Amino acid sequence: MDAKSLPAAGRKAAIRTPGNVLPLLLLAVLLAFPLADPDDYLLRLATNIFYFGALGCAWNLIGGFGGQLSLAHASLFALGAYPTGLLLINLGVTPLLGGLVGIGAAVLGALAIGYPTFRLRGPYFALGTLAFNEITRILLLYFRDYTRGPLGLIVPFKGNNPLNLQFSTAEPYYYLGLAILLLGVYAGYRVSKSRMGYYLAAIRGDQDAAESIGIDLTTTKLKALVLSAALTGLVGAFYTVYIAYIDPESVASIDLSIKIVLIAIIGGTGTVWGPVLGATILIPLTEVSNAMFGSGKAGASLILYAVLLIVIVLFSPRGLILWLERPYRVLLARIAGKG
Amino acid sequence: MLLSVEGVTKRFGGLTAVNNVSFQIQPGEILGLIGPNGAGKSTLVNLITNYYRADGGRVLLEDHDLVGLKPNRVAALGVVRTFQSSKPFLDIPTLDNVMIGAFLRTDNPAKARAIAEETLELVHLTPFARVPARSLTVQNRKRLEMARALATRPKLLMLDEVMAGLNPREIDDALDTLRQLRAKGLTMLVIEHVMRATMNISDRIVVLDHGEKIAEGAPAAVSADQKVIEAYLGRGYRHA
Repeated sequence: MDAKSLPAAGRKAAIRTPGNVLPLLLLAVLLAFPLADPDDYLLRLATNIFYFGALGCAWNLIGGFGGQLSLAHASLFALGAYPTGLLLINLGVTPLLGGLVGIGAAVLGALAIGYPTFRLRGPYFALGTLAFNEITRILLLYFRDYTRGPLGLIVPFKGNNPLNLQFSTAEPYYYLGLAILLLGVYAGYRVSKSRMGYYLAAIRGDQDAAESIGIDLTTTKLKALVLSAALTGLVGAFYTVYIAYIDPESVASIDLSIKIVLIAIIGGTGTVWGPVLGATILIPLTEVSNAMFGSGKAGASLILYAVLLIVIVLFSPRGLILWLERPYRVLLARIAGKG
Repeated sequence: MLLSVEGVTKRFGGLTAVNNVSFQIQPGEILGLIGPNGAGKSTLVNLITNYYRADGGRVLLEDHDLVGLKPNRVAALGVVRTFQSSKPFLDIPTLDNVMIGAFLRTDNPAKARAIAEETLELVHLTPFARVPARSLTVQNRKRLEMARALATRPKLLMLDEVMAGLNPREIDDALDTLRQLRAKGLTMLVIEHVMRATMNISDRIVVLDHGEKIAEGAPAAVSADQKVIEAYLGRGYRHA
């Protein structure tokens, strides 16, 4: 079947094209995976891939589609995590509500970052976001009366309690993580197909030219950053109940910001699926590195990231997803040919 | 009138790049803006579109004062420019470049696509719709830049040296396109270095030299003006 016969064949046929069936097939496998009763470790690894993939998708909205190198995403993550944790621990507020407060805090953080820094261009924006990230981390350490500073917050486990998103098994977190990742992919898909996606591509390409044809640079970037922050805050809230421990070092450090950026760059910035691929590669690699060199020596995985980044930038600056694109198209064509 | 430039001045440090320049553009006309290198032609475009902030004077589009607005607001009001060194969005397809222009008047991707396809046809870029703008030649990048601006449905299109660097054949193509646009009623400000092209296409011409307007009028009158010959054509005429 060639492309031109598609409109005549109608909507139902379009749903049956392999380009739409394969992602659904992958989703079905992921949904069924816990039923095979895998090791808890594998479930947790998959969950980690999901939430890091979602973080990559969130960053990609502004950093990939819009080309604005944000190094503040760890702080947005922390702004999602801390309100969730504090409300749950101190007041017993369900993370379903606390998470909303966290998302709101992350959005306010995005406005605080974006409003002053989006007037800056090039490296100055990246430096501005870097400063914001450090300020957030230091404030979390400083206000120890509320945040317990470097000791961090421990979310006490009080038995299976779905309302508080506390579960004694790994499966519920797996499905929650998967749902959040799907939301991240969906956000990227919707943005890429909309006027906003085109506007962000224009801003990535040339800001003067974008402005000359009527694009409001600051508003467009702010919208993308706010969306990105909301998603990042959501992942932060999820992380809080999933890991049940947050401290400034693990949720607000510049290392985390860089890791999020790397996930998107390795997979492919400005593509819908790139961050998912990036997380699928980077997170297991981190596990292997931690197993080999000991997780205490975090330096080992940093060296790994650096090497990976250099290789990607040299040989495939637009990410590994481009290497998969052609084989994937060939595969689609084969399936279509047989069907 | 459509656009009225009134006493616009711009200084860079001690240098007055544009000094008290006034002119008007009537609806439907092509106004040529010429002058030697460094005369302030591009600066004037940057002032009208507010890429630079004027040190004095006013720019009125119909009744709106454009001074102080952001460049994107100027574009939304219908004054759209191209850049002397063209600035396509290199990583995305030619068609998508033009769609981004069309999005100024619609938020519907299907409608933007239809406008973009129509506009590409007009500048003969349809065969290149799907390739990334990076792979286009200089001539085609200039056409793309024009198409992208046209897709915003401007009231006034300001073309900054779209014919510079083109060979005579390509210039004729470009002139053809401009005539077609005029036939559709589009008002244009054409900044050019290529004299033949400017004389050929313009209804009226404004001449800048050292940031000041030294002549304005019909092409024939301007090219016979003694001041213009001295400032701009002098050496060429002596040798001729």
